[in-house]
Amino acid sequence: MNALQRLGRLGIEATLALGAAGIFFLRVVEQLWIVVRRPALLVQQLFSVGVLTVIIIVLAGLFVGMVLGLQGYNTLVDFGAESSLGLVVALFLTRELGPVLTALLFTGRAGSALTAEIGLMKTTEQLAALEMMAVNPMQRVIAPRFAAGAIAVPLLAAMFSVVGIFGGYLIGVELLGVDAGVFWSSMREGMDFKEDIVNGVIKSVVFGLCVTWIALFQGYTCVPNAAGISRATTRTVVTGSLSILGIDYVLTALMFGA
Amino acid sequence: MNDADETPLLQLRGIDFSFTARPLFEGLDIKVRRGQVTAIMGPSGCGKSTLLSLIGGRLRPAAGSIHFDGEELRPSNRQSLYRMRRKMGMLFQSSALLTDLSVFENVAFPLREHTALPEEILAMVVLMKLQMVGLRGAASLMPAELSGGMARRVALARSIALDPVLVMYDEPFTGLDPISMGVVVKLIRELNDALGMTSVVVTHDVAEGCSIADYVYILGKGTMIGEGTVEELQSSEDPRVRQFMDGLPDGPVAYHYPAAPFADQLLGSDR
Repeated sequence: MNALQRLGRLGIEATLALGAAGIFFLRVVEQLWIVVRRPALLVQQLFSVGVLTVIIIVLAGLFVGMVLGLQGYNTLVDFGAESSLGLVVALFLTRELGPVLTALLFTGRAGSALTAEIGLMKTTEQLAALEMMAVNPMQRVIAPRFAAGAIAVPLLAAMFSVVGIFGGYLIGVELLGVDAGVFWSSMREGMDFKEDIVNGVIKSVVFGLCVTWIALFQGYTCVPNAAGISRATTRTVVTGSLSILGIDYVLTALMFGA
Repeated sequence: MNDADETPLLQLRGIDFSFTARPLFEGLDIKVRRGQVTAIMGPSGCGKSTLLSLIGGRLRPAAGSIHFDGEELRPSNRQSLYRMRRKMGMLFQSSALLTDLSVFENVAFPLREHTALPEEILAMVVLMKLQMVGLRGAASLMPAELSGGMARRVALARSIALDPVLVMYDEPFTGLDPISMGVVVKLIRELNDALGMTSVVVTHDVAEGCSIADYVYILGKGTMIGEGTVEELQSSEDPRVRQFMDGLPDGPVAYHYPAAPFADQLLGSDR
């Protein structure tokens, strides 16, 4: 009976948390107009969640592209198909690795920082002080960060893919001797704008929204003490990463067929 | 003073409030007269800070009403609540300065959010407020570079930036060295009188609270155990008031947390 009760309580708690997160999402969306009225708030957040994440995205993209170039070449060369290396590298990056790895890195770098920042603002009564100054924290603090996350992730994913393709080029063409013309032309002929590029962008927009939502919600609802912030930050990384992978499967199935 | 028949700036009537099943306030009545410094004193955990959250509309009472400046406070109506909050300033115990903004920008923050003052006028107002708390020279510092006392003075300058009619102080003397405490005590009284404000000071520091208060409420468990001027309370015979004012370790508020008889517990008879 106790196990059953615990299971029931877990179910109720999970449903309540989902409901609270849903209400939080609607409250943020309701306040999003602030980024149109005061674009400076958005620019500031785009810098802190986007620009400061560029270096890790570029480095990761370069290494992933180089690995793809190497692994792709070694596999394709057995079938005499190394001329398709450019296409393979680009497809992997734009469809999957670009959006997914960018979102995962964003969760670790910017998502955790957002949760810690909001959690600390709550703990040190800064959010309460805003409320008492008749400033809505949902509008002034949360909405610009939410918009910035949703805009930054697709841009970072595009950057990841571009740098990744360059990494693949470096290894495939410059190191392993695949013809440069073949490398680029296979990519141009084999890729479809809607199927490969647009779908990749849709994925990264969804990931960006989801991760930023989770990070802000965890920070806003954390228990206001050191342990609470630490738990909330961990939850952001774990829940955010798992959500990205789960949603990626669903989106891939919808876009490219189950 | 002819305050007796003047409408109070702030009036709480029959406030009931509880966080859990245990009620925190039952039928609480408080009147804050215009131009006065009203101290609300009581032991830790009696709900003093919660009272300020109720006045600021951050919490809703289960029953009763709160009237501020002739209007009923309705936390459910965000627009009217924010309009009323612009007439209130609040000093938090933790100072609650925005850590990514300088001292100048912290004080300028409410002005930037609620007014469209030209930059030169805004800078003048901010420097005037900082001058009042003696920190004009610290305008360019970041909150991390301030001592606890300085941070509280900056927060005080920020809370009066919009020239509020009421300023609420949540434990303003806690954690300060004697000099900083003296400065804050002096500032609360002087700003209240010089700017024609009304102040509510929530504190458990009896000496400091009494040194600046015109009227004092002493909050016990859920209800008011005493009220009056400092002189009235100092001459009160009520044992609950006496215990608090004199800082006696035992009395109506017992020294020992309720427990089974000591002898029984030692001899194991209650196991």
